[in-house]
Amino acid sequence: MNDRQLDDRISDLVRRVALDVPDGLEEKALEAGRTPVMRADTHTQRRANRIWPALIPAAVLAGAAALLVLPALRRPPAAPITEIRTEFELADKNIKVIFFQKPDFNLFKEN
Amino acid sequence: MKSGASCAVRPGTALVSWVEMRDARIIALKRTDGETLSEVDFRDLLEPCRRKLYNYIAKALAFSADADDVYQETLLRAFQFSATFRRDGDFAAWIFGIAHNEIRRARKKAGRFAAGVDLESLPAAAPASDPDLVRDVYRFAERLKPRPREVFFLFYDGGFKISEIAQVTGLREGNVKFILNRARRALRTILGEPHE
Repeated sequence: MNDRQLDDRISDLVRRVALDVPDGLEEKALEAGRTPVMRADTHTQRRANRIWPALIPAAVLAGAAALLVLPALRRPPAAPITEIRTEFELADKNIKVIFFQKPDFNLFKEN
Repeated sequence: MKSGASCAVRPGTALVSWVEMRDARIIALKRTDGETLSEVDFRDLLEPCRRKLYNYIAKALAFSADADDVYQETLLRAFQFSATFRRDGDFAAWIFGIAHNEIRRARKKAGRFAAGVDLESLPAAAPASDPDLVRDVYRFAERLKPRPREVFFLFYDGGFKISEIAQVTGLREGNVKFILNRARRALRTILGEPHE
């Protein structure tokens, strides 16, 4: 007896015992199913529901990393102008004139 | 326990008529994905495979009294979440997959199931010849671990193909073949057939 014939024989023996579905079993189940439930998520929604919660800690981590790294990358602020120095040199007189303007100077023309 | 007539359908060939299944599937095609099935549509789709489904659950649970509850729970879940059934899919494979999950859930909850039916009485419900062999086959199935037992009944009782069994149980096709080969080898000895 080859495998195919053996399968047929086993199948025949197994199917000799066949139960009928008891009466009313399906009615009860479907009656319970008639009560409204939340609409089942579609496959895509279910996948999205799994992915979103996982993204929250990732986003928090990314934010924290950005807060730590950004100040280091930022260009240091320019030093404030504390004085303006103007030099004149009168070569033939061997004179050097130096003007200092200190913080109270007004850099721009006043209107 | 009631009995049905023996069936000459070859294993790997579904018990239900595929014409019926095709007609049933046409109903499913009338709706769109993500839409819950109406009760009428659900019943139409269920009809060709309901008996097969009930037998699968009962036999996978070794005829435990909990089989009725698991069957009801399977139908309830399938009906309530029918929106997840893809219209291009196979309804039988889909609902058997739900049944598979419910069987696992019930098994976890209850631990080991006590057989609800005395195996000695099984052949009395079956017609005619070879009552001892029927008993032997069921005794063998009872000794199988839960998952191989499911595979065994899906193939030999449900008439599912190996690829469909893999889909229902989540096993690889190679594992399904392995389980069936082992069962075949053991049953060859039990049935007194010489090994090839």
